[in-house]
Amino acid sequence: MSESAIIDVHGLHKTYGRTHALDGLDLSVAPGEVHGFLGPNGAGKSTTIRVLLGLTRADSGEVTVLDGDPWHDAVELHRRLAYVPAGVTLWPGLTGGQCIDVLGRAHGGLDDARRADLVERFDLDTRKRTRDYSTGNRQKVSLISALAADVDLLLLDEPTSGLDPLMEQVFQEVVRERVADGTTVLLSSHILGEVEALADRVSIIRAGRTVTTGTLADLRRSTSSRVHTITDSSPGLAGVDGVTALDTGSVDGRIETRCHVEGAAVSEVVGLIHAAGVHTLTITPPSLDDLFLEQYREGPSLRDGRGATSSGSEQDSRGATSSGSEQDGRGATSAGSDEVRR
Amino acid sequence: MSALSTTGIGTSLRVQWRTGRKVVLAWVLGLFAVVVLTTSSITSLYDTPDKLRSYAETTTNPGMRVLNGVVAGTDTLGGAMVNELGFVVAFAVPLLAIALTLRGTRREEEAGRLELLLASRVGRQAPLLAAVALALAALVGLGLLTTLAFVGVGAEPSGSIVYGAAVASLGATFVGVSAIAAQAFGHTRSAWAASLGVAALAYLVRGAGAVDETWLLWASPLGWYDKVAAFGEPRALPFALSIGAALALLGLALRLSATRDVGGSLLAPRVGPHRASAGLRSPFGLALREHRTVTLGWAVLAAVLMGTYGSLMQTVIDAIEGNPDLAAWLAGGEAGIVAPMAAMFVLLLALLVGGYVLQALGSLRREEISGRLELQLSEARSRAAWLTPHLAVIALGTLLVGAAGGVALAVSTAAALGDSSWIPTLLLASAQYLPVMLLLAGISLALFGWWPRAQAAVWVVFAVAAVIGYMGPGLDLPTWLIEWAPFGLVGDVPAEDLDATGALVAGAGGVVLAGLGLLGFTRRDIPHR
Repeated sequence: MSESAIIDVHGLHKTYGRTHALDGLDLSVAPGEVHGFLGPNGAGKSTTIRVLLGLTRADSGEVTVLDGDPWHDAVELHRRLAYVPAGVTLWPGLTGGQCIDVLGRAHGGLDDARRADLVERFDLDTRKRTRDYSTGNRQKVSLISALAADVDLLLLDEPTSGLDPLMEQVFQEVVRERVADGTTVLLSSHILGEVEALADRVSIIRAGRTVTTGTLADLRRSTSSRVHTITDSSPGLAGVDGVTALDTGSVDGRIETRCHVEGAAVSEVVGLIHAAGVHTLTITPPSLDDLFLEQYREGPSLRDGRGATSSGSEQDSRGATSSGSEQDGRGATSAGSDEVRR
Repeated sequence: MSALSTTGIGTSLRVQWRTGRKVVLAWVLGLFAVVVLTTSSITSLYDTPDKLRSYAETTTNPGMRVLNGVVAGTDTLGGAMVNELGFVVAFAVPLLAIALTLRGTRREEEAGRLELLLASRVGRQAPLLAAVALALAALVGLGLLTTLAFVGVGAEPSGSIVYGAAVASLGATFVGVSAIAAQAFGHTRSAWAASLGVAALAYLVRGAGAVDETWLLWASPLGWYDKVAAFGEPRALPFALSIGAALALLGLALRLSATRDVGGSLLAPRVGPHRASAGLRSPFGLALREHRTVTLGWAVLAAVLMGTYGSLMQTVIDAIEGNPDLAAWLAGGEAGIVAPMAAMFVLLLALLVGGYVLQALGSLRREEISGRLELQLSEARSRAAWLTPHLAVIALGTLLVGAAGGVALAVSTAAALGDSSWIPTLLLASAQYLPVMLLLAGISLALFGWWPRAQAAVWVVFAVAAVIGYMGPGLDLPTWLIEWAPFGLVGDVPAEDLDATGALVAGAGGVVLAGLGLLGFTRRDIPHR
């Protein structure tokens, strides 16, 4: 993979004073893929992208972008990539159209037909000055100038902040078209739905480190699905390996069971439920939100190198109704970031 | 039309006072300090009726009246002080009114904070009324302090009271003007520009009317301020006009605010072209565009100020010669007065150009903070290739601002003194300060390259150098300090010859520092933390 990778990063470190912005980060992006780059605010996403652009020099670690060293070969590499930064302030006195052209000029100019098409699809009034734009419209300007460029790599740092759901759809369509043309995309985001819709693989980072990386299918396999069932008798799931957050009750004389089940235990659990006389059965596969929150809940054990799904999920056993576990998730995330601060 | 909603004006007032009290106090006390300085210096300079009479004669000069207005009773102590304050009051009081009114209205609205406040139990017109009340209170405070300062040095009390009231009501009219601008324009910038435009127009109309006291005086709020004639025969009609205009404008502003949306404006924002021109797409063209407004602003300021100073040269000489004490103090005759004064004006021009250089270079850091630098460097262009066009434009801008001020000073001085030999002398002297500009630019760039967060510290260097250069001789500072502070390096041109060694030190130092800055800029993180 490293041989042909578009972006290849190993053991990246960057310190600002006493803050470790990057603490041994790894990242590998293959040609033609959309790579989701996930992490909460302050995890090091923007710093990583600035290292990839040669704007910031890493203290240590290896970085290769498009087979070059971004710090030394910045100018040559930049001919082949386009960047959408998070929350840029455009030139307030220029119109949106002028900004698109000014930003697009150094990618060898923009493809005019593509520019016109994007302006129309993103529904942008290019005659307004950017100081009169809403946040969403300002974001469209950066997006159009990057997406209309003919490049091999797109580095998108929270590209859709401020866009409405309709425009979010347009963004996803356009990214898919670019990928179909052979462009590689690094998509940094904390809008999980967007990453889920676009990304082939994701890397989740925390406190400047990669916590997990892989395809969404891989990640799902190692994460629990949620099971809700009503059966005639008790299915006896307690003690089954891979079953966590078990909660039983009764509804109209039948047994109601909720639990989390790891991928490997699903068939055994379904067998037990079937034997107990199924009335209703719902199995919900983990969403990216679940994956994300689970990673953040599990920080310490992952650092030890163990897959610590069970120890992490035990925290959930207090109340595993779906709303309950969402709350737990949030609690766990903030606990995670406390630790980041430490 | 919806009714006015003024619930929660107390809350609004408290919020605006808490967030703006430092600004309000800085304006009022800062202007009060200028008033006190003027009153005390006038009192000590013109301490006999004879001296006051000779002062009064200089004020009949039409050129002086264009600047200071038609001031009544300049043969009294109070009148002389009003005349001396004429220029400052004509600009600073409207500026105070505009700044404080827009602060609490359009600025809050543009930032979205007003929306937040209005979402609570605060009526839609309450913030406007609160901002107006605060600005008016500041003006009344300034008026009272002015009266006290005048009475304190022995000016006639009733005239002093009338004058304080005239200052406050002049400001009130501009509170009204900017309250309307806050309704009409969506951006604080535009509202400021429109209000300033009205203030400048009022000044020009008053000046045109003052030359030979025509009816035009009655067409300007500053004319009303003159017509009050605090130390002549005070009139009530100008007061009625000022206060009436203020009330009418405020009433209109309230009605306008009730007809528009929160966050909206009466005038739709202007639109521009769909596409960038070829010029704008080139790095040089973009840099030109970014520095254009600031450069032109400084060039106009330099030309107006230097033209004014130059044309006053003869008047000042007359005033000094008419005052035996001063003339004796400045022994050496007319030539002995003119050369040091010309040197002082050239130094003032150098300070202006230096201010431009530092402001223009400071915009590089703003480009970095806004994220635009990052975005431009993600294009196929090196850091040096981004910086070079900016430096080229700023260098051209420096020459433009310097030339605008230098030519205005040279031509107006030559015209005032009737001696065209001043033109080459003053142009050369203005150009001889260029090595100092290079030194200031070098300090700013070195900081930008290595320690960008501290780039603004160059203003401290500038301020210290300006004080040493401008006030050093008067404060009796050691000669070596005056000669080695940046503005002294080239010598007191044109009164003295150019100090070639000093100029070389300044120029070479500037180039070395700029080179270091460039080196640092190509090696550091962007954005720098």
